[in-house]
Amino acid sequence: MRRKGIKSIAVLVSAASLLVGCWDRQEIEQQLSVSALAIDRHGDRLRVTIQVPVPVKIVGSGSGESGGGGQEAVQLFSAAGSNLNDAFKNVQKQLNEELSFGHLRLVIISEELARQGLRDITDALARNAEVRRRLWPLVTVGEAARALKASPKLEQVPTTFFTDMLENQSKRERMVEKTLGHLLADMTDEAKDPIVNYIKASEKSVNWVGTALFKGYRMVDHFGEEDSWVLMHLRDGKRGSKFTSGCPDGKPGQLTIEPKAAKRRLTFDESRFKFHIAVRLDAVINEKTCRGLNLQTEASEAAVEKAFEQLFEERARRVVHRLQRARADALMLGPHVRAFHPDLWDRLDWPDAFSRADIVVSYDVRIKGRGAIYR
Amino acid sequence: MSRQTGQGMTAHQKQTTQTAAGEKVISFWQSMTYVSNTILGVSVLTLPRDLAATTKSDAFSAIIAAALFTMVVVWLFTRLGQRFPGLTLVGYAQRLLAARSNRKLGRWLSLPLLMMFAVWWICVVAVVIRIFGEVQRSAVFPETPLWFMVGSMLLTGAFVARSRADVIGRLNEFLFPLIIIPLLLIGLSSLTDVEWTNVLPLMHMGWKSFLLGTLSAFFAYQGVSVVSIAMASYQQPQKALQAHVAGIGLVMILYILVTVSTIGVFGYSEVQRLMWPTLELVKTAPGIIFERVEAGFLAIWVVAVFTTVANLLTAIVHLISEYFAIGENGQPVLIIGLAVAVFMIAMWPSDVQETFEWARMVGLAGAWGAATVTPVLFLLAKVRGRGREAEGN
Repeated sequence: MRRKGIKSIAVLVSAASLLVGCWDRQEIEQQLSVSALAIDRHGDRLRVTIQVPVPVKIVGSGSGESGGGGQEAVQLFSAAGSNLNDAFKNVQKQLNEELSFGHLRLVIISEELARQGLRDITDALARNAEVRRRLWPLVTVGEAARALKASPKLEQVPTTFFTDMLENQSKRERMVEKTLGHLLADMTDEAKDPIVNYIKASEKSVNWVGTALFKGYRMVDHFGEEDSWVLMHLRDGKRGSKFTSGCPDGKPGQLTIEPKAAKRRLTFDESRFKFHIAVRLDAVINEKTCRGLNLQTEASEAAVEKAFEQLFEERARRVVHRLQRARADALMLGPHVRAFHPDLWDRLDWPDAFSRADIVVSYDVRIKGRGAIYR
Repeated sequence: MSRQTGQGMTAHQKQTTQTAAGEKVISFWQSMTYVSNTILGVSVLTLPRDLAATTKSDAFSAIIAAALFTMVVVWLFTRLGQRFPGLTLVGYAQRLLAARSNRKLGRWLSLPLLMMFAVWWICVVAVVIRIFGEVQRSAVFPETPLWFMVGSMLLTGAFVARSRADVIGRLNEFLFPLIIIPLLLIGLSSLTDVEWTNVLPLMHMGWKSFLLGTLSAFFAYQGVSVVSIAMASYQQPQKALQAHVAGIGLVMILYILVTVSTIGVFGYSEVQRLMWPTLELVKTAPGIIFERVEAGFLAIWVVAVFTTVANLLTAIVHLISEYFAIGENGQPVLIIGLAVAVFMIAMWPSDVQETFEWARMVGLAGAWGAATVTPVLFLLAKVRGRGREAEGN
């Protein structure tokens, strides 16, 4: 009897459970997927601009005329608010469906705002469980919303174009691979300071113009392209991109090399508090307009190597000097000290110690090829 | 010889405790998975944060130290189980606490001890399902009410709680790879993103932070005491120690992998700020096939929580029904009562913060119990010479 009663209750409960809906059901057509987000300062408030792909304008999505990509396939919405979520709330008021940040790939922040400090913005982003850590944060010259208005036609959605650009170029070690996850981790870590890709918007695309240097949560400086590549040599042993120098003998003409591999070796002399960063760069010559320079001879090859070593070391000195002036350790020296000299680390006030440290950079450039031309 | 005494004990025990598990059904492999699955639950999501807060970069020594401590505890339980083959905690606690002639006294004296175990296990289940609910709420189901997530997990566990020992053994054996393999993959795939300077220096911390770290890591191993019930059903109790130690060791390796990856990827200062660091690691992990694996990870993690809840609930039901001689017919009522109690405790903390405080309290109580009750039981058995004398040493 009793067993039967329990069985019928079980059947009843399981039947009833079919009638229950789902609290968190959210149909995909009832979402507005934000693919890119731009954040600007608006007086003492924030202005956010979101880029939302228009599904019917995307090729292969059934009916409707498919657009040619670029700005035709997306729509921008913008609103201001006292903080990030207040601004999102105000954007939501203009929209028919629920904003969703699960597909957010790009966060563009204006330099003005970055220099003011990003503590509140990164907090809001990190707190949102939908936001991925693998998205790309960028700092832009001027207005951030302008970067979202750029209209590259090569991909259907501009965001995809930009993230492809960032992914490919950072894989080739020409841009820094700094995602939101890295930014958040580097901001909180007392031993290092973050760098972020720095861009400038044009009409058709955005232009990578270097890296923005942060001291904790605040942007304090920015480096141009070549300085950024040198910084990448010094920081991670990444190879950067092409460099051009004058002829080693001082005659008119130019010489361009492309680094193929880079290696960074850091040594630290605890007693003298001296860091030595040795960078080994294997490069090939791409272009030579120096008359009379014959690359066949070992002496001239050595002269070319020497010229580039001087060029890099000169740049590196300036970069290091600027980092020390900003008291921002973007060279990853702090983690090294903490990891391998923990007793010393415990006694140090790192920003101060870094700014006063003796940091020597030496380059070892090796020309490994000169293309299809013999001389 | 030993087999004979074993059977004699079982028959003898049936007189006093009515429903003790007599059949030897749990295999060696099953007992190992039983230990691993019971331990692996919600704490794998929060362990990196607790350790980053206490031991900073040097998390793995605390994990190993806590595992060694757990192994000592489980060694005591295993030896007890081997001394009293076929008997559960309920059976041998009664024998240990009073003279042979005075069974009634033993029965009464063991009651507070057994209730302590039962209440603590109930609290562990409650905390586990509550944290489970909090994770689901903050990560994937923001609109779903908490009682539903807590209740549905509890209901699923309660359905299993009446099962016979062989069912529990097979359940754990079957679900084990489902839990372990994805966790291993997540840990391993994240290793490529680890900045090794984040996990150094090693062995650079004070004793205080090491002990605090070991204590919080020990919270992540709680629940091994269920072997005191399950061991009575082992096919090869003489090999139980190897199985138990292997089960703990496996979890230890997994914990080290997950914690080192998490701290290595984020750095300890960021990990301290994260609510569910391991989940955050999954969200950051480079996708192998899919770009976003956290939904899949959570689905698998549900299984890990389920095995913890099911194993603990089964142990509670067994303990109570054995002591009070509750038969097949009474068990549903017992389970319903238990489920209501667990549900109420689970829903009691008002927010996540309070839940974590409860979890800490339950963990502390467990550590305290493991450090006092288990050795006392073991010493009683040794000093009073109870149980089978022919111990395999």
